[in-house]
Amino acid sequence: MKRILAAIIAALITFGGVYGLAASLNLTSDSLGAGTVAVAACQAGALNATYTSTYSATAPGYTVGTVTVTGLAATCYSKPYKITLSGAASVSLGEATGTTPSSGTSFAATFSPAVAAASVTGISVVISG
Amino acid sequence: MRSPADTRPAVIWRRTVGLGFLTAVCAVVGFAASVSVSSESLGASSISVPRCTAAGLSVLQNLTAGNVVSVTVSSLPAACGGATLQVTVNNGLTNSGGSAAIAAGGGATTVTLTVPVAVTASEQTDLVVVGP
Repeated sequence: MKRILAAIIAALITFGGVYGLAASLNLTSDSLGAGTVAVAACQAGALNATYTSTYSATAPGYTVGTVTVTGLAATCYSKPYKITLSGAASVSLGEATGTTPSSGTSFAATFSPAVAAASVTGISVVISG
Repeated sequence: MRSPADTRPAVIWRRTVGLGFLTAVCAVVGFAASVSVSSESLGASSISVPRCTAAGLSVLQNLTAGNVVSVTVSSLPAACGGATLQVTVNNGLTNSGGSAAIAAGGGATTVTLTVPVAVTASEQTDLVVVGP
């Protein structure tokens, strides 16, 4: 008799558990990972841009074909750069890309085609990597 | 109801250890949700390219025997002092230019053309001030 009662109680507990689980939702999850890291510039020192202007008879007028950037620190050596000359309403007039040198404190960026000097009102420089 | 057996030091110790283990497991799960992130450097900046003057400048062609041999630019402010003035004259057939440094106090600067340019009915004079 005790065995029968024990079997009945065990069955009730088991099926009760099954019914309880059946009421839960089947839930899966995509992975989710998060992290935060500071993005630092390769140097804190100021860079200075100077312009080489050349007369163009086809323009006609003066154009900027080369921008020389000085003040480069060793921590910015051999990194990709992009220089943009902009005009009114910050519209891009031309871009020059390249890699900073592995030595020295300056580098020259060439704009092809050259940009009308009179239209240049701003310059943007980005160095990454 | 707590039985006397539950208050025995061995039981309390086991439960304490068990709780510590559960806490450690939860902490590990918490760390697993984070991602290790590294970053390359990225520096960018944009600035306006300044003008040493926005005022009107006077431009005078100096002639010799029917040719423009030099150009004098005046009304240059002191802010342009030390900069380089480049001038080119284009008569539609040919062009020639030159450059000269602007005096520290501004004023007038004369640029001699590399090759004299013949005077025609219409010439274009372009100038640019670079620096300082």
